[in-house]
Amino acid sequence: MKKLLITAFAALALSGCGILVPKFDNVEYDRFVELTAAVQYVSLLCGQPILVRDHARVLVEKAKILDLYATHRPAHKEIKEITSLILANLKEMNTAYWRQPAPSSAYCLGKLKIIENSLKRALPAIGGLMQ
Amino acid sequence: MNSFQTLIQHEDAVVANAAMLLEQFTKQFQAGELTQDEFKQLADDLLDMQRIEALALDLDRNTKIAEAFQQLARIVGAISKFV
Repeated sequence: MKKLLITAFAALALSGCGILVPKFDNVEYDRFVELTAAVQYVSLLCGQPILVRDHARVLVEKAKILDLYATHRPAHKEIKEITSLILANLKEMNTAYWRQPAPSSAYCLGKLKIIENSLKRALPAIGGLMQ
Repeated sequence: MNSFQTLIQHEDAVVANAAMLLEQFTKQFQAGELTQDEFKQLADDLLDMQRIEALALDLDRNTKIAEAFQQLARIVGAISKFV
């Protein structure tokens, strides 16, 4: 009977490991929160293209750090894909602001709203990871 | 525009939110506030938003399953001590 239970225990442990869920990481979570707050701040500047251009570059740098951090986490597939998509969207925005004429205010607001929505959706999923 | 209204009232908040944003972008494009390139880019971004929603759902689900397995393993571990 004991052998059977030990076998069942081992099987459960192995199946659990097979799911490969990343653990909660407070540094990663903090970087997500920081990027979300920064995106919210920049959206307040949307009527001022020169200011947005400078801040767009900062947003890209923040997203690059987050993406690099997520790259080397174990069992990171979903988080890595999320950070890559967000980085790609922010890079696109940054590129648009270094072209002439500057993008419209509506573009800035729409782009940042979508990125903010995505970050806000990712936050509870990342914050809810196992300790 | 009727199709937008149907989707805006969709029971899934992600679909409703995406439809609301797309309706807003369409109006802005028609009013000349967004260029064609900007409109296309924003419409594409909505697909990325939907992809991120799916990834977040996967994370939620996998976390719940892993927690359940951990709990089961604890139960089996506790029982094996008494057998």
